[in-house]
Amino acid sequence: MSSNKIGQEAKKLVSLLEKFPKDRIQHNATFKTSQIIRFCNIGGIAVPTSVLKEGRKDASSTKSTTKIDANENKRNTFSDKDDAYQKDLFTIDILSQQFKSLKNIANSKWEKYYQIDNKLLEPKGNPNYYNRLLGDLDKGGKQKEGFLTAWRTILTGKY
Amino acid sequence: MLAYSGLRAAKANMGRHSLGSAIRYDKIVGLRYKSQTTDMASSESPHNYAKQSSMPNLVNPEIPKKDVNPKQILEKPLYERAIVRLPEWQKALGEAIVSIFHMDMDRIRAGSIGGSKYYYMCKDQSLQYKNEVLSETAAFWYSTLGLPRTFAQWYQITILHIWMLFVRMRALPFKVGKNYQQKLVDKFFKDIDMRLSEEMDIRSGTIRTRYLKDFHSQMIGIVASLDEALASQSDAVLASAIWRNVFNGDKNIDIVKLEAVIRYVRMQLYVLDKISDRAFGFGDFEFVSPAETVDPLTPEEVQQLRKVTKEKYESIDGKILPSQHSSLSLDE
Repeated sequence: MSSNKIGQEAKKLVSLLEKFPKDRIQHNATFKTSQIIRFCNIGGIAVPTSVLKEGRKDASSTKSTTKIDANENKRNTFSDKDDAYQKDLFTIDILSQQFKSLKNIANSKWEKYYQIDNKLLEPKGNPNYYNRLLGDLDKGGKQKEGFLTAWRTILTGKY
Repeated sequence: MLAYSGLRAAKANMGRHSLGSAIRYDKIVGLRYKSQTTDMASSESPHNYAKQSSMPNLVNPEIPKKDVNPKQILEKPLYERAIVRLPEWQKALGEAIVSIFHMDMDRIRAGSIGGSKYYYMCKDQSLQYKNEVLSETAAFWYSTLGLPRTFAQWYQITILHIWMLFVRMRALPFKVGKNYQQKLVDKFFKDIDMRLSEEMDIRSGTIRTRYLKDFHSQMIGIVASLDEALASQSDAVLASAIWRNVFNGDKNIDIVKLEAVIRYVRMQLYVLDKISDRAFGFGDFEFVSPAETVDPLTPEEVQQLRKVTKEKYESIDGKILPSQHSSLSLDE
């Protein structure tokens, strides 16, 4: 009975995690997918196929583009073994507390509570800084910027 | 019982001086807002919030957990230990030099405030050594959040604080802000180099340079991902960036603790947003401790803060010491 309840609580966490935004650029580890796999494991739920596919894509692309051995790096940060999740430790209380926090994060509770002005978001010293950064990241860091804009940054330091 | 937001700014006592009015730093507590330490306020602080999690700290056996065990601990320079008081004649000589050569004080202040005061504020947040009692802020990071007590972890926490200052420095006028950022980074890497050679006992310059290059590329990545989170205006993106960097991509993360760190970061950014350019440039900003909370300000309190800042930096007769001149705005 209780394992069923744990499964339900974990399912709630997984469905909330699935709504998290996708990373703009590929990283060695992704919060969204790693946590989906973790909570599926804890709740005894099948990992969604889309997440598994993404994981496989990640592994193959990292191999071809970087000299760093991604698996070697991962070994230092997290183990791939299932028993490392220590799922016996999780009770419904713990999972519902985790869910509450995850929901606060998903709803940007603190971003809204501590709302900041345009002063920081469009800094007067560098008004285009964040727009340009997001623009480049949205292209996935793949498309290089133009020759002239690059030189403008080098010469003036402005974005 | 209600958390009360009180203005922690004392009115500056303007002392008279032959060259103008001096700003008396000893009378100023620091311009920042925080909740007064009532029971409720402290129970809402990020530190207590993280403590409330009922999930035990799951230690990943594969993470190296080596305390910083220094061969010798670097001594704190005098200016970090206490308020340094110059003799009156030295002060007068300094003022005369600034006045005669029309020195740009905003440029000079970038070194003493941006590169020095702000740097050691960031560094002290999580500095720790083996077998030594953790400071109040370090206890939040290592005991409560359960992060490994390593040099690399210290670097991650320090860079998170440096990034928060970067966000504010970008909002200064371009020339001044860039200078503050440059001085802060320069001091940071000089300090890492020093710590690696003296404390971690890495004698080989080649190895140290390799580490420094590695730390530099990490810095670029961390700043970019945190900037992305700020610009996205989403806690979910910030959570991913903090999880990847501060929490070392730990798959067994306690999400309550992750939320506590997000609250901590948002709280600091809020204070940085409310502080004026002038007060920030003069080094009036202090990080709010993880054991304290900040309450959003009412419009009246924002006005009051502005008024106190003006009273502090503008003298009634319009005369201020040459060293106190600045082009930085008092209003924003």
